[in-house]
Amino acid sequence: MTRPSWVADGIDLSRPSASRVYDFYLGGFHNFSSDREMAERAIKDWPDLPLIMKANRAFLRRAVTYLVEQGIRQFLDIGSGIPTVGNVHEVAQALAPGARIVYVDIDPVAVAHSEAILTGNPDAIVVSGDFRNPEKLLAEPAVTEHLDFDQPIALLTVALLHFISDDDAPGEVIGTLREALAPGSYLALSHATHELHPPELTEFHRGLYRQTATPMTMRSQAEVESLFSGFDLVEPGVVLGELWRPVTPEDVQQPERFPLWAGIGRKP
Amino acid sequence: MTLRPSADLDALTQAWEQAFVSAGMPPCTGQVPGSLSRQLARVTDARPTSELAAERMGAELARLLVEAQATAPAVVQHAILVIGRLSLEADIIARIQSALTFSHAMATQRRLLAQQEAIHRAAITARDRAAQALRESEARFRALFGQAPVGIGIGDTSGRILDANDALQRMFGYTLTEFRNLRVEDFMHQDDAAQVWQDYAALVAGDLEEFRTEKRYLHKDGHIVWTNLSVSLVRDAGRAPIFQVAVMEDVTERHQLQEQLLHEATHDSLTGLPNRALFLQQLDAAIAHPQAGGQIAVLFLDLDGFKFVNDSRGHLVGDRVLTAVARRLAKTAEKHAALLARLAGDEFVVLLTGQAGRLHQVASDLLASLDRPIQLDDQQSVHVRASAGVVELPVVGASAGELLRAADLALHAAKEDGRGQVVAHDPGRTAHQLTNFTIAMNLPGVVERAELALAYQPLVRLSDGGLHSVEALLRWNHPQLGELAPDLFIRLAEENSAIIPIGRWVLDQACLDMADSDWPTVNINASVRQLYSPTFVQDVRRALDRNQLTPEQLRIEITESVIMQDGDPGPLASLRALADSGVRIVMDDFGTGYSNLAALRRFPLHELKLAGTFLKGLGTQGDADAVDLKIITTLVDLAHSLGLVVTAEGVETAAQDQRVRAIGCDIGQGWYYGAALPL
Repeated sequence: MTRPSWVADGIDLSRPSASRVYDFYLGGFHNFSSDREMAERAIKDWPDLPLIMKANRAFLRRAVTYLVEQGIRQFLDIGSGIPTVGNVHEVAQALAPGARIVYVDIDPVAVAHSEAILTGNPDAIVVSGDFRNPEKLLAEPAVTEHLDFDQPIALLTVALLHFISDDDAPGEVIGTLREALAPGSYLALSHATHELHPPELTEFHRGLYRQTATPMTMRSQAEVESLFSGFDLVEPGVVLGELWRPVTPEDVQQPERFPLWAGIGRKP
Repeated sequence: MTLRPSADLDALTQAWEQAFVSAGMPPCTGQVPGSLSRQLARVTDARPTSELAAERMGAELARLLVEAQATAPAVVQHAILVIGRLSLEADIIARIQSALTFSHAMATQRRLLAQQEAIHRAAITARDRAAQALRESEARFRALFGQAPVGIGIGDTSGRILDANDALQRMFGYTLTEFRNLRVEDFMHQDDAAQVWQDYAALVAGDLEEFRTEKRYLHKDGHIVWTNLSVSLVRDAGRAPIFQVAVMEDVTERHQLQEQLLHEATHDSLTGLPNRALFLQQLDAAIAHPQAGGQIAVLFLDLDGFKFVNDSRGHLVGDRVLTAVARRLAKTAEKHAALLARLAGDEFVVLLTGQAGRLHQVASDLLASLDRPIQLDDQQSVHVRASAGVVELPVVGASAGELLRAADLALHAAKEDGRGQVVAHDPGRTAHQLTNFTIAMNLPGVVERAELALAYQPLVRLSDGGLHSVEALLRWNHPQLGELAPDLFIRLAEENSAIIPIGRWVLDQACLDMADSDWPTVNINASVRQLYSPTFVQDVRRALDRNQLTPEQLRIEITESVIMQDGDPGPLASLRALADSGVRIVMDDFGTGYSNLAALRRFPLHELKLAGTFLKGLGTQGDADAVDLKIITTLVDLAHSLGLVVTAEGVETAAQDQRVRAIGCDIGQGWYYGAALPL
C-alpha cells in the first residue's frame, strides 16, 4: 500500500500552475501572484514567450476550424487549462452549433473555473482527469455519455505533451486513446521544442517549470512525429506552429521565433 | 503617414496590425473579415465631427481590444499612435484618444476584477471540493477503521502506536490509551520468526512496502492470540515513509483447530502418545541432524500375553490396561528424555538419542515400571509384563527402516528367549534377513558383473571309492556381503526371474570346466523356472556341443518341486527330451518335501539323492530308531527296484558313512568324502 488513493491532493496556490501561467501569457487575469512572478521571470529571459503562447493559441483556432471543416463535431481537449478567449467550444460552436466538447484538466482550479465558464452551455463540459491515466478517463461516465465514441472525435493535446515526461510514455497513452477512437477521428497537437533555440534558453525555461507541478520535456520534430503513430498526418505534416496552414501567407512572418511543433493526423 | 478614413481600409487594417506586433501581440490575420484588425479599421474608418461621436469611437475601440484580451498597456500605447495618425481635427483625435484610454482602463479594470474574482472563486470551489473529498474520505476511513471486523493499528515509523481500532482493542485487551503508551516492539514474541522483525525493520526504513505473516501476540491477560498480520507502509506526498498500518485477523481458533488436527494426525487417540508417523518423523530427523558422536537407539517393546488380557477380560479392560501401561512407560521415558510412541496394539517404541550406553538402563527401567500390577478398580488388577528388543547404532549411516527392522528382529528374539527380556540386536544372527533386500536388488546383472563362481564336490562310489561324478555348487561373491551360498539367493532369483541367466551361466561354466577336467561326469542343478524355459533343452545341447561333451557326461539335478508341477507337461517334456538324448536326470533332496513315490515312475529319472536331513534323522551315535531305519531302507530298496542309483548327501562322519552303506546307498557325498572346491 502506498498513499491511500482516497486522500485528495490539497490545493496549493503558492505553487505556480502551468494553466494559470499560460492564461497570463495570453493576457488573462485568471492567475495568482505566484503564477505572474514565474511568468514575468520567464519573459525577462525570453521576451517572445507571450507571443509563442499566442501563436499556439492561434494554431488551436486554425486546427479547430480545420477539424470542423472536415466534419468533426466532437472534441476531446485534454489539458485544456483556463478557458480564455478563443476556446475550442467558442470556435467550434460558432462554426457548427451543437458541436460537443469535453475539456479535461488535472488542475482542480482550472476545472472549477471551466465549470463556471461553461454554465449554460450544455454541449461543453469539463471533467477532472489525468492524461497519464487514459483508461480511467475513457471509463469516466461524463466522457462516455457526452461523446459518441462510434463517431469520429478530434483528440486535442495542444501544448500538453511537453509536460509529460518520457517515463510516462506519452506515445503509449496516445495509442490507448487512439484505440478508443472511431476511424476518421483526428489527433491535433502542438509541442514545445528545443531545436531552434540556444540550449541555455530552453534549459532556463525548463528550470522554471520545475517549480510547477508540471516540469517540461522538450522534444524534437522526429519525436513529435512519432507521437502520430497510427494516424495519417495531414498536410503539411509536423511543422512549426506558424507554418501549419496559415490563413494568409502574410501571417507567416518569423516562424522560427515560435518554437512549437504542430500537426494534425487522421485515424484511418 | 497620415491615414485617411474611407480612403484606405486596408491601410488602416495594416496600421492596426502593425500596432499589435509592436505591442508584442501576434498578428491578427487582418485579411480575414471579422478579424480584430479589420474590425478596428472599420471603426476608425469614420469621420466623427462631434466630441460625442469621437468619444463613442474611442470607447468602441477600447471595447473591441479588451474583448479580444488585448489588455496590455502597450496595446493602448500603440493604439493611441494609430489614432494620432488619423487625418482628423486635433481636438477630435484627442477626444478619441482620451475616450479610448479611459474606456480601455475601465474595461480592463472591470475585466481584471471579474477574472480575478472568477479565478478566486474557482480556487475556493476547488479547495472546498478537496476539503469535502478529504472529509468524506476521512469519514469513510473512520467508518472503515472503526467498524472493521479486523484489527487495525496505525503507528509512526519510530514504532509509536498512534491509533488502534475497536477490533484491535478487543483482540488484545488494551484500551486506546494503553495502546498509545506502547510501542510496536512491545509486541515482539520470543517465538516470532526472525524474518518478521527483519521485514519490519525494512518496512519502517522505507525499503519494503508491505509484508504478511502469521504472528502470535500476547493478550493483556497473557493468553496467546494468533493473527494473520499484514503491515503496510504509508508515504507522504514526497514519498517519505510516515505511517505503518497493521491489519490483523484473529486466527487463534483456526490455529488451535489446526494444532489439534496436527496433534490427532501424529498422536494415538487412546493413549495420547505420539503415533508411528510422528515417531518415524522424529527418527528421520535424528538421523538427518546427528549430534557429534551421537548414538541412536531404538527400543521395541511388546506386552507379553496382552492378547490374553484382551480375549479374557474384553477390549474395554484391554484399553484401560494399555492406557495405564502407556502412562507408566511415558513417565519413565520422560525421565530419560526419550521419545515414546505407540505403534499399534500393544507395541510401543522408544527413541533415544545422544550419549551411548544408557540404553539398557532405559530398557530395564521401562520394563521395571510394569512390575507393579495395574489396579483397574477396587476388585480387579492386571499384571502385564513386556519384552524389549533394542538396537543402538552410530547415527552416521543409519537408516530409519533398517533401525526399526533390526529392533523388531531383536524383539522377536527377546520373545523367543522367554518373556520379560531385553535382547539387543545381533547383526550376525539376522544378517541374511537384513540383507534380503540388498540381495534382491543386486541380482539383476550378477552374471554380467562376473560375481558368480562354481565349486565342485565329489560324489564317490561307496563300492570302490571311485569318483562317480562331481556336483557344481554355485557361489556368489557379493561385493558388500561377501560369499553367499545359493540358499541365500536362489529363491530370490527364482522370484524375480534372474534365475534364467544364472542357470544358463552355470550350465555353460560347468560344461566348460568338465571339458577341462578328467571327471567322469558333472552334476548341475536346474530350477523349475529353467525347465519351463522353452530354450532349456536347446541350451543344454549347445553347451554340450560347444565343449565336445556327450550328453551322458552331464547330470541334471532337479528338486521334488518339479513333481508338484504335476499336470503341467512343460517341465516333464523338457526332462524327457533331455533324458532321451542321454543326459541323466537326478532327483535332488529326496524326502524333504512332497515325496510322491508314484510320481517318480512317470519321470525319466536315473538317480535319486537322499536329503542330508535323513542322515540327521538317523542320529549320529549309531542308535538310530529302528522304524526310521526300516523306512529308509525300504525307500532305497524301492528306488533300486525302479532302477535308480541312490546317493546319500551330507555325509560328514565315518559313522554316517557306515550307516549309508548299511542302508544300501550306492553313492556318497559330503565333507567325509571331499569338500566343494573351485576347479
